[in-house]
Amino acid sequence: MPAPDRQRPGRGLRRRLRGLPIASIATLVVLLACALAPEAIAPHDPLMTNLSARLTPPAPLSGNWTYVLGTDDVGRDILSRIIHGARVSLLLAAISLLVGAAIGTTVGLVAGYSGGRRDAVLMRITDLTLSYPVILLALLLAVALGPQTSNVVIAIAFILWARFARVVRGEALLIKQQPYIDAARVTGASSPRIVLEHVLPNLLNIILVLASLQLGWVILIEASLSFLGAGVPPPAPAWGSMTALGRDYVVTAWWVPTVPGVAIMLSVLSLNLIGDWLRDRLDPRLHGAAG
Amino acid sequence: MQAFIALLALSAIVFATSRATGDPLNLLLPIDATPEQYERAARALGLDQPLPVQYGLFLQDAATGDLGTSLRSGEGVVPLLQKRLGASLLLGGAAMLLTLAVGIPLGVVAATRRGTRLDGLIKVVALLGQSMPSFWVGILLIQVFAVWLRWVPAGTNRGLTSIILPAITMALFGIAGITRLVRSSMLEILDSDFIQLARAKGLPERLVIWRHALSNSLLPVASFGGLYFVTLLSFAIVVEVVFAWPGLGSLAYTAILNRDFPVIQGVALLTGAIAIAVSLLIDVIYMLLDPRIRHAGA
Repeated sequence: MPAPDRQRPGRGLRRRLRGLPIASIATLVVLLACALAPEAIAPHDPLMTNLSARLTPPAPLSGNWTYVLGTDDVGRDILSRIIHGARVSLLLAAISLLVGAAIGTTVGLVAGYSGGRRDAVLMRITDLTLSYPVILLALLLAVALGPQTSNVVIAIAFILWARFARVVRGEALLIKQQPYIDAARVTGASSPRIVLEHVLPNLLNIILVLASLQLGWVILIEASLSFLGAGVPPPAPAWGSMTALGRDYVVTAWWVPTVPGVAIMLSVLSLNLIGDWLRDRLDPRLHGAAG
Repeated sequence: MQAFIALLALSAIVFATSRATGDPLNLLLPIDATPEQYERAARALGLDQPLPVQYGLFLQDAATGDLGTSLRSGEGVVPLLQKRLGASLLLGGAAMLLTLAVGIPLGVVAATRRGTRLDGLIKVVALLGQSMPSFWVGILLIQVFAVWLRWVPAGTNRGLTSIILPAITMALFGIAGITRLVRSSMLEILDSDFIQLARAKGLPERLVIWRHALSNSLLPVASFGGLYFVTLLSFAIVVEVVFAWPGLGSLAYTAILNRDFPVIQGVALLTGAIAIAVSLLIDVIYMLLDPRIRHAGA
């Protein structure tokens, strides 16, 4: 991690990019490449078993460079499974984030702009959702709707929207009091039009920052769900279920649970660092608002 | 009153989701069960009634402290919950204590030594803590301390030592969050006028920081503490499953796998009630910490 250099004065683009988390962005680029074209990057088929090479340790220990990060209990290449798992994790996280952000922003805008009883009711529902243990709810939903990829998205989005609704509502409330909103109302603009043309554009920065701060958290939840067996159904490679499988090999083959965990940690860490940087650049007021 | 409405809404949601998890009779009865057997079982369990009636019965029973019996073991849900609640509270309490006892001092130290290597180190540790999935932390800790070093037993319920690893695992995420929160709110407070005044009065620096600055920077910590507590409850399920801790989390996990409706309802209701109670408690703590609200109320 590059140490942030806060003292040196810079100019123009260089100043704007000061403290840019280069290592994190590089990690994210690698992840994205893995998610977009896992077939081109992975050295092996992630589902192909090779019983004669089962539980091979990582290359530096075994000297077997066919399987760089070792193999699991049925001889599947761990590196290839991690690379394919990136697609599962990132895709699921991105889609659920999009859905959750869209719903949450809508609810937040409606509540914040209309105020009154509608606001009170919507915020009560939001608080109720927020005060409920995420994983229990997601487990209920994931099992209720069956072990399907789309259901993981529904479960995560169902929890995520409330986080957006709360922040967006607070900001919408502030913007509503600005003189330019009154001006728009005086000129006869309808409420939906004011919200879409004047309130929403002023909130995009905050929504972007919030989304980037939540992304790491969403990946953690998705991994936890697949660890508990309520994520993407096997044999598809998901980081959480790979770690779960490795639980049985803690004593005999430590790399089986360890390697997927490192993949999760590096991704979440990079996303968190990028999110922090974005927040400092775009909206210092959100400091500490990531739950 | 609001807490009551929240509980009622919660019960409806819980009832709806648990009924959507599929027909429990398909799991309970053998595959070759005849339609007559199926019907008899449904009538015995009250599953032949229309859903609103089932919900009404559920509410009526819940109000009298009867949450039904487990479809699997035939045990009463309330005794089952009572048996598991203690273990969960013990683990959760230990984790919460650890979170506060480690997180707050770390945050204060990071804020007062701002920009030093120590601050940097604490920042890295906090960032790592928020990036590691708790199930993986648990597995790593078992691997290092139970398997390699043999400092603590790997299994559960072998005396007091078996709580150490799950408590650390659960606390790590919270410690990271609290540390960052305390640090940023301390930095804000340390800049303010009344701290300058306290220093000008000649109060020892130790007193200025740990008494005046810290007590004022705990306000935002208390309000975010509620959210962290809920996250803690969430990760408790995962941690309990990893360490086979006999609490509510592992009960919920097996109940969901078995589609054991009454047990799921019970756990979901109890956890929701705990979450609502905690948010009330946070409001009270907030009032106690903030002299403006405290004096206005008196």
